Amino acid sequence: MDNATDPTKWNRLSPLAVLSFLFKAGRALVQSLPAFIPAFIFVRNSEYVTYAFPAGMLLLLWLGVVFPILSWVYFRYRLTPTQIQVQSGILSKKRTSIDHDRIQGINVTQNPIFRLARVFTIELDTAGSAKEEVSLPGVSQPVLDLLRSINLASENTVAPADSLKPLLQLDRRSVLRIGLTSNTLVFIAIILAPLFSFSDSIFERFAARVLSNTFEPFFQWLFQLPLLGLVPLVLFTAILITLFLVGLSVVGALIRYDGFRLNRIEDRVRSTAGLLTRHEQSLRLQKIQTIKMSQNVRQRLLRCFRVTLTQASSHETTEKKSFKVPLIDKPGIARLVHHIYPRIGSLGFLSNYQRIDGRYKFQVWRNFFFIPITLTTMALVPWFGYGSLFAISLAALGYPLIAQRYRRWGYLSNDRYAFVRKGLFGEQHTIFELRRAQRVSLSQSPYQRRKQLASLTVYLASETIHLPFIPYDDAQNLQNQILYLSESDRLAWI
Amino acid sequence: MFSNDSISLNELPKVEDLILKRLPTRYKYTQIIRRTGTVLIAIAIALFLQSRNADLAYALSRAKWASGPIMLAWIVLPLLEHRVRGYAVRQLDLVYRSGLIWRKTTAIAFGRVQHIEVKQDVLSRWFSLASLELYTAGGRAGDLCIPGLDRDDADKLRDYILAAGGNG
Repeated sequence: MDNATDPTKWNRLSPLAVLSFLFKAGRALVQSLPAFIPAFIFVRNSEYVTYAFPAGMLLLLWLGVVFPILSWVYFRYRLTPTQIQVQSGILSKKRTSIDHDRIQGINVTQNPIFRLARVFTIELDTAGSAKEEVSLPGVSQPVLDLLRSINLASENTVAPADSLKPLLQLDRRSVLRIGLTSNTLVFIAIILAPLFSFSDSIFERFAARVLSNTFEPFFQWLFQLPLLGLVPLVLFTAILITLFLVGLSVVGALIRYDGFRLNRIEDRVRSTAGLLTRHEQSLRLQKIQTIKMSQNVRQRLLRCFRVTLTQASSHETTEKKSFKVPLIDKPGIARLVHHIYPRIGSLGFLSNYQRIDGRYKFQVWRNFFFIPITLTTMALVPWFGYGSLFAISLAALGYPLIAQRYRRWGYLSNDRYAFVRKGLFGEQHTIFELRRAQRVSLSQSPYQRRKQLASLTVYLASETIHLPFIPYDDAQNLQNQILYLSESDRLAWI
Repeated sequence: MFSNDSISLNELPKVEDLILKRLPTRYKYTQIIRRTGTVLIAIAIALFLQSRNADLAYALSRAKWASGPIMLAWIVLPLLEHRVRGYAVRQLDLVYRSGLIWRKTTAIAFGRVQHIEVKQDVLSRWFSLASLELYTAGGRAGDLCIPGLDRDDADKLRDYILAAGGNG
């Protein structure tokens, strides 16, 4: 270990950082591949094709060997008493300085190779855009500790993470539940669905060659049964695919969240997790814009939630920069929320919501189902005849959905905080401090004007919160209160 | 020392009681000119297509009866909307209302304004109008834009908001 490094002088990263730069180059190459396709086609059909191979080799040599090594050679960083400075770039030099108080959080990851060498990848989270963020791949433990101590608001004590009782700790069973309830399951299914149909022909050939040899008697028996045989086959395949997806999701959850531990350290929360690559995320409590607790149908069955703490960001980076707690129960949420908003008082928020106006159902159904469907079917009459008008009855199918959505809508506010619930099958609760609002809009359709209703939109630095069909007086009061709180507020809001 | 006095909602300053200032009358004329221009271009394109394609000519000959009144209404709408559209500047915030059918009132505290843009296109320059755009943090769903302010008013407003926001 190079314990002689002085972080205040210009330092190099660990030589292992070359791996990170190699990975970065590979990712850049893959991302820019679509741009190369026209050039590729052009070269293939021209006489330059003889140069293509050496050129490709040169490119690979550059990206695979020269670029990572030179990137490492030219990458320097140092910690001054007020700033973190980074120098990088092979041809065009780039120098980034970040003031210590601009750092919102430090995210640390450690992949298995780095873990063997006891070095870390540190990403500094700043309020700015994603592009300007600093990533230090391959720094040693002393530098990490120094960065952490700098990042803590109070200078005197730095409590080591492990000595404190964690706010939340997940065992293997909980991690299994994350895998079972994760939405990535659905995403994987959606992504794989076209692949399945695409692979039909491949699968058939594969089945013909391999499967039929091993399972021949079974399949012969199956196909002999004319229709009845098809049902178990389809069922069997469906169960197999489901099991495969669930297994994939569980493995994914295990890799990402194994040993999940959530701590409160001074003015921030910190989470550590990961089976192979250790991820550590931290976020200052005062930077939190909203607390979101979501529950999909499966999580509802298991009575658990997923919590996301959002911080100010541009739209593209919101998802990336948010702090996630993958699995937490109601008492856990209560504890976490009280750490973040100590003055919030009792949390009746999961049950005592005020409903939005019931006229939401018909109005939204009419505007988003009835009118569009009616107009479309009417436009189709010249082609399909008057019989197509029966399609209007399809609009009726939308009503239960809207009614379900209406049941999920709810809001609640006290003199500092607002709670909003929404959802369709699952539900999502959002808590935010009224004072953090950036701006408020109140809008009314002609119908809402007649019925003394309004829709309120609160724009926060992290997202936009919409509340449809609430009584006009409530909306006005909320708007006035938000303005009052954000104008009389002397605390940092970002 | 931290204090947390309870405040009655009725004592808070009310947005709805404000008397809004209308935008200059010139603005509605620029809007009508702009919309007429757009409609004329659309008609020109339609006529061009009509001369090229017989099927389209038939469809367009039917469509003109429906689209004519709609386009006319679209052109005249700013005249009516002008009466609704307005803004009010308070000590610490700005309130802007717009929309004839879907009425929308937006309020934005000066302390939350990140930066301000004053914009002028060719037509606005002729009428010495300018639009004022207020940007807030994380704002993407359309930051507040007040179109058609008097050029001098826009400049004054910008300076005032920046000064008021800086102190907050």
